[in-house]
Amino acid sequence: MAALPLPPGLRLRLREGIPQDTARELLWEPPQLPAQPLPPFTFAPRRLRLGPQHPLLEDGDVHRHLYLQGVLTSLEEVSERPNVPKHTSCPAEQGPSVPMEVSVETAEQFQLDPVETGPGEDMEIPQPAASPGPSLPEKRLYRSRIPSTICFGQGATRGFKGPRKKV
Amino acid sequence: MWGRRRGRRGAGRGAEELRALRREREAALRKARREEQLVSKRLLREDSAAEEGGQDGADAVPDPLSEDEVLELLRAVQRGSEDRKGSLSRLRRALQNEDTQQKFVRLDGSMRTLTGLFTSSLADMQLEAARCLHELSHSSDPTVAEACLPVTSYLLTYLSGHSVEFTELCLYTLGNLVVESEAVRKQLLPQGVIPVLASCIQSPHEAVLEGVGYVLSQLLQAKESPVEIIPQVLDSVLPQHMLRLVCFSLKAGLGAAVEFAWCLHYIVCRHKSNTVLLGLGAVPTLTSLLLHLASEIPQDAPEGLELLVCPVLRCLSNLLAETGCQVRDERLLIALFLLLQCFLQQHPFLVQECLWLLNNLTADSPFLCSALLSLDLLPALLQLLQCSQMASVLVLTVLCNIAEKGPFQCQRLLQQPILPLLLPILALPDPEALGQCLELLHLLFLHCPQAAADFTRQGGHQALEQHQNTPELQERAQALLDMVRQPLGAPSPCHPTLPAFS
Repeated sequence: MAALPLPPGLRLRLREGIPQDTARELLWEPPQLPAQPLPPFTFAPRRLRLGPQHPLLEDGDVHRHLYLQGVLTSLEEVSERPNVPKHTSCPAEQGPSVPMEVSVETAEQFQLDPVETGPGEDMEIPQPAASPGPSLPEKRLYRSRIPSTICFGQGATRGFKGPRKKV
Repeated sequence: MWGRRRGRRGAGRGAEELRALRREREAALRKARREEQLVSKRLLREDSAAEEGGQDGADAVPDPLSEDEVLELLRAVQRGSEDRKGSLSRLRRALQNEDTQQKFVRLDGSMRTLTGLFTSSLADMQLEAARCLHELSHSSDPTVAEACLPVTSYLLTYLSGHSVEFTELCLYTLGNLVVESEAVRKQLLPQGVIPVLASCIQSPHEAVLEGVGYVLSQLLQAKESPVEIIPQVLDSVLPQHMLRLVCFSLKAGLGAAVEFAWCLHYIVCRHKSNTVLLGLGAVPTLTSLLLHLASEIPQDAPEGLELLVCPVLRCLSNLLAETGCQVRDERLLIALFLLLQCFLQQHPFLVQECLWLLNNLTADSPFLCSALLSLDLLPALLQLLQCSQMASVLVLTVLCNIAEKGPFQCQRLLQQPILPLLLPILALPDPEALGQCLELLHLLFLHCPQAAADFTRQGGHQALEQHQNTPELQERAQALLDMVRQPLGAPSPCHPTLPAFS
């Protein structure tokens, strides 16, 4: 998709002002009571509270787990010359767009009363996941390859493999 | 892990093969999540290439050993010979293979030996034994991971130690064991894992902090966490440190910030009433963080920043949904759109996360609705209609939030070519987007009757007629058809050809 048509100078506007001015940021006002929608129309503005299992969160959760499993990686080939620190920008993802079958669930979720989607429902039961696929060959880069601007703490670079399918 | 790249020397896996692997993993993760079994482990592994002298293929997982070979390795380790360290290293290397792991734990005395070495007073033996345990902890075979259970109390004890590398190993090993079973956690909690982590989170070492975050994130995702874990965590000093560590600078601390951001998200979305976090100033803190990120990140966001932005957005959205507090800082709108612009190409999943927050900000705030319009962010918002089905529903919802505020906002909306953008949506089969579209049209026609006439001129009538027989849409479609059929009254302030007034 094309870049967003944003007006110029936004970043500058962001930097102006006092970031820690909490008085400016938050005011305790009673929420406005919206006018009742005229039937058959039902829309009323509503803050949404989403529980851990909500479909909207699926893509982000998957991304998080790909990271834990060490699958998130630059798909660009690292230079063969070990002395050249490679700055690679993040390549285009395959782009997990939301599959259509999610829409019905989403519809139901968005219609729920906010209280109903609070915690206590849809609890995750984390048992070891069955995950097919062989583990990626592990390789850690020499420290000299790592760009100095990127900090990853004290020591070990982490290699990853994901959980294997259980027999 | 941060900034790690995968290197491939010579003929390694090509980009296409990696993509295929990733797609496979993704599909498995989605399935696991829908079954509420989403669990992953992390692995720390030393640079094998450095050890092996940089041979090609040294980085691959070793082949499985036979039972006899494993036994031989164990015997070599049990002997008090000079090369015990060397034997232990060889064992550790062999244990990178899951098949070998299974054989090892079945051998009589193997875990006893390993535990003995793990509790040895010789630092390098201890470290190597810890690496062995770490490999075992990462197994997807529960019998292998469970074989490590007897060492959990030692793991906890050693978290108060001084060696950063050793502490880090213990943390990741613990984190992997935590997800094995409720039985493990039931054992760890009374042993004081939360107070120990509360102490470790005050370490100055980033590697330790990231490990603490990892363990916590695993604990907080447990099914019993709302009852057994979250209350204890909220009762400790952990929350204030998490909030502190989430606010990293772009120079250091991203790995730890990511972990604690996910921890905060897991708490917020599972805990009924987040008074502790709200009382610690979570909303202003996370808001400032987003403002800072949006204003400082370069156009090509550094890899991994999306892993921080995502949970921060979620925390804010859920915290705002819980409290009646109104955010009156329009810079947050700017930040959201700058982040959207930054991540749109590489990480489209952030679109729905940003739009969720945008909904929660605009739902009952005429101030922010007007700000969105006066900051000229509407064209960008309209463009997001094309992102995905979920994104278009959310965009339509935000547009409804704005339109619902009254004639002035509707008039501003209609200054953009919004009606031509809505027409194609009426032709889509998606009932949810259709429903929101009809709601939006209703609000626009209600406050700006001229819009109804414009809509008809653009072929809206036919678009609405399509839905006269759809059960969940027909009443609303019919009501709209009635609205567009009404004769025009006197020109309204919403006439789009009249000059805008502020």
